[in-house]
Amino acid sequence: MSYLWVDKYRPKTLSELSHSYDITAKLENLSSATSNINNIPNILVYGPNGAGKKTRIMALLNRIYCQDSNQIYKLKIDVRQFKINSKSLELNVISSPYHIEITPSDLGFSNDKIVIQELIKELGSTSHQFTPTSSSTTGETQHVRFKTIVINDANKLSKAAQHALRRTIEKYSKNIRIIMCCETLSNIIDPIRSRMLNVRLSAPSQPEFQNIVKDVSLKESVTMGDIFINKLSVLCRGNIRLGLLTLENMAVLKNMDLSGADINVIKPDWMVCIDKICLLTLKNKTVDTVLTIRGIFYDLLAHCIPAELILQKIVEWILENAELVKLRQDKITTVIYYASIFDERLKLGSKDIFHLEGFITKMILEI
Amino acid sequence: MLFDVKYKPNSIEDVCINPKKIKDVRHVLFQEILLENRYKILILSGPSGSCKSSMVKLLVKEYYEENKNLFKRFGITSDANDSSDYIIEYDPLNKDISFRDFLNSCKIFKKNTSFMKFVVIKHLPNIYHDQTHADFLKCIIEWLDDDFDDLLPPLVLIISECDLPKSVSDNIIENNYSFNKFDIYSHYIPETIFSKDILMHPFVKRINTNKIAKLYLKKQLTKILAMEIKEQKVNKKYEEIITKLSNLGDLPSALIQLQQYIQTPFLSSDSSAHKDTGLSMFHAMGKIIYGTKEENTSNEDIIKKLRSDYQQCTESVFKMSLLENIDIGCDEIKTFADIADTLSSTDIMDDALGTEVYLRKIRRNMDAATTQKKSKVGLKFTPFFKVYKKKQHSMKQYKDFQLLDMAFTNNFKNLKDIIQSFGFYDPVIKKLHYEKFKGWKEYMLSIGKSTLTYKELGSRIDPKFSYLNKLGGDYGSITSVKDIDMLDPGSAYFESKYLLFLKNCQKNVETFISEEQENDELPYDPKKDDFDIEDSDSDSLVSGTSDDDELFQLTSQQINKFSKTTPTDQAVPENQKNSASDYSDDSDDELFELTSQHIKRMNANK
Repeated sequence: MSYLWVDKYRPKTLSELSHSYDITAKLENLSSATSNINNIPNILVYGPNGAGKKTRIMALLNRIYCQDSNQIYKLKIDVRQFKINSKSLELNVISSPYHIEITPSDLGFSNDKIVIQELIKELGSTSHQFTPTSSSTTGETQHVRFKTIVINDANKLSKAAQHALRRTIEKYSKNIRIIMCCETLSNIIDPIRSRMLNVRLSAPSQPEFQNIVKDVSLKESVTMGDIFINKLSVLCRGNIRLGLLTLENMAVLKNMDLSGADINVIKPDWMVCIDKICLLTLKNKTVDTVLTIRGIFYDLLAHCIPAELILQKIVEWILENAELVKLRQDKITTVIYYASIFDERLKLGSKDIFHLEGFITKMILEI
Repeated sequence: MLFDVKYKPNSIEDVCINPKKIKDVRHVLFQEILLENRYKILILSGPSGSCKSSMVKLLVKEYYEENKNLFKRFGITSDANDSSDYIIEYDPLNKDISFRDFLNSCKIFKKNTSFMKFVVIKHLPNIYHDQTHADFLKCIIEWLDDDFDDLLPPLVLIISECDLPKSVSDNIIENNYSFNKFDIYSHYIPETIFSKDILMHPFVKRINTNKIAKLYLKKQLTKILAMEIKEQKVNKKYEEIITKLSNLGDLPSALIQLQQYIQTPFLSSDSSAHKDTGLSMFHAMGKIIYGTKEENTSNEDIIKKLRSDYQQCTESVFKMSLLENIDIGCDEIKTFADIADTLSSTDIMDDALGTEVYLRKIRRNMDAATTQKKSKVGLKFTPFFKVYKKKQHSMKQYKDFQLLDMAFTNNFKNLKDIIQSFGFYDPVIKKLHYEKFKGWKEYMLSIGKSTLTYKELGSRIDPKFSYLNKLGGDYGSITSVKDIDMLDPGSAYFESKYLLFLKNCQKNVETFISEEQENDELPYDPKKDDFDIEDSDSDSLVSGTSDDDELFQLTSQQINKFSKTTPTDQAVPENQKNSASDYSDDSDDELFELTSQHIKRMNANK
């Protein structure tokens, strides 16, 4: 049992899901008893961080394999070894009897192809048969004849891995289904997109988000004022994970009373660092500022915050606070222009710090 | 006969080294090592051809000559020309004897006895083989820690420093962790060869020699030239050559080239003295940042020289270190941005070409900079390796947290999410809960009541098995790059809390087993097939027995693997292999079941 509310109140079945009802309905149709369950397509779920992609996928699997009996959540972790050019790599594989879940991006860019191929081959070459646990009212049970592979962070897959995936999907389509989960489609090659059912899951709207937060705080008997919930939704922008974590953190800190008018929301520390960087660039336009910011960059990188994310967050900050700091429209355009240039260089190059440095100096210079 | 053999110095006075340095070495060798027992090992390092070996050999020879009577009295008849009587050298080509055996066999040449010999190690074993390197270091450490009544023979390690160029492109691959660093592959110097323990060891003395000074080398060359060409007067041409050669700072190299000039004077007379003199990284950086004071040197020359003399200039370490130092000659943000842009765009170019581009760019901008260069500030080295180390450490913590969390809550969290949100919130929330519990406990104890009635979450948190501080360490309040040094407490040592947890579970199960050993008749559920799902109790939250069984094996497997990878941990004894732990739920019932299964299995094995 988890003490984290985000785990505790995670919806486990499709019917518990609390936003984007049209997509929930779509998924329910896919897995309903009337259609042949073995005709379910491969699915590609994409949407912003913290919108509930994984939750939805798990709920769907729960419906398909166990008729909402939660057997799917009996997870175990397995450390698999892969041999690549005499080097052996380790990958954590999460599995239940019905599905396995992998995050190939943990392995590094050039190795994911082999891992994907090996795993799929291994699972695809044997046939599976599962009987859903509780038979429905119709009396006749449908056997599920495939195992599911959930691929996290699919946009981080290398092109080679995606092509390998494309071939293997077709070859083993009888025995396995693939569900991919990613934040953006832009890195996914067209053949994959066209072979999968694309499901776009958007972040919950402001009222939906607030309802979720209110619901949890009611269950945990947290008193909460409007000021707090407004601040929270501004900070999280529909990221439910971030919202609930912040809520719990604040609630525990303030003894379950969040109704005060002067309440502030605690941000994750690395986001505070981003704020610092942006404020510095706007305030002091000297070489010393660059050195200071470089220090912060190194610190962020040392905490495994990816350079692309840093760049993205800086741009988001500028967009958000443009009016506050009185930035002209054309300056914002310039920032975005440079961000796009250096984002590309980040992807092509090998040393992040040069590109971050290049971006930040341009930004200091231009705005 | 080659000059460098022919004119091998015969007495210590002939060696082209600053007499002061000779005095230092002599003092260390004969006073501090032999008489005072202050050191056991002398590490003598310096660029190649700076007469390190000659100096040591001649010094030792001199010592034996001086004390001839002493040794003669003990029956040593030493032939003055044969050094093997008082020096023993390690030969890595001799495959019959390992380095360890060699060192051990040397122990008989006890110090200050008639058997004494100086052990000189000039050629190291193949340290590019990791195992050999590790063994080598271990031998040295053992030698240092060996008491042996202070009778170990004096050991001299001679290291010819050199920087080795490398052509392989060096991409740091996020999780693959293969990239070039400051190591023996690119820098063959004592810092990379020996570990810190050795270099900082109180029994180790390190002396660094410099290149041969121009003056000494010139003197020596003139002397040799005079001996070679007795009949002629030394003409102007030779003088020129000698002046050129004496810039090399490398005696053997200069001698060989001199010999060439003398023997074929007109063939090669026009080519300039060449030896890869080599530049150190900081030297090269200084050239780029500060330029040069020599007259008639254009930027073109500097770049050319750099390209020929500093072959590692294509390495990213060099580039990143340059980045740290641009601010020295550049106060204007506009130029700075320009340079940063160039550095960034050359990062995606071909190595050689890109290097050329950014070197020229920086050089030109540095020249154009009108501001006074802050010459007092030393050149900085890139903090990349520190950052990298820290990154690895954070990554380990994130992964450890992932496993730990999986074990406690049966929730799997993505690494990405851990890095971005859980890594911050989870420890904070946990800590708040825990502190609350601690406060409550203290209060209950103070009024003398039981502390077992606490209902909230804090009581379940064990600081031993959970992270209560920000994963990867707090963000330092960094204001400059320099501060990164201080940020890094104990990152070299990583303790996996997950492993600790697994071990603890194992211990619990084991004590349980020993308690229950007499009682054999325990309820026992037959194992069920993996994919056969229980359809009886769909709402049950208790995991199937087969799952637990797997967990068993998995856990013990993981423990075994962990103990293999972390040598400091004690290896798990064989008989524990089958025992296991349950990490999904620690209710007594389940433990009971697990234990009984375990016992059954053990009985079956018998």
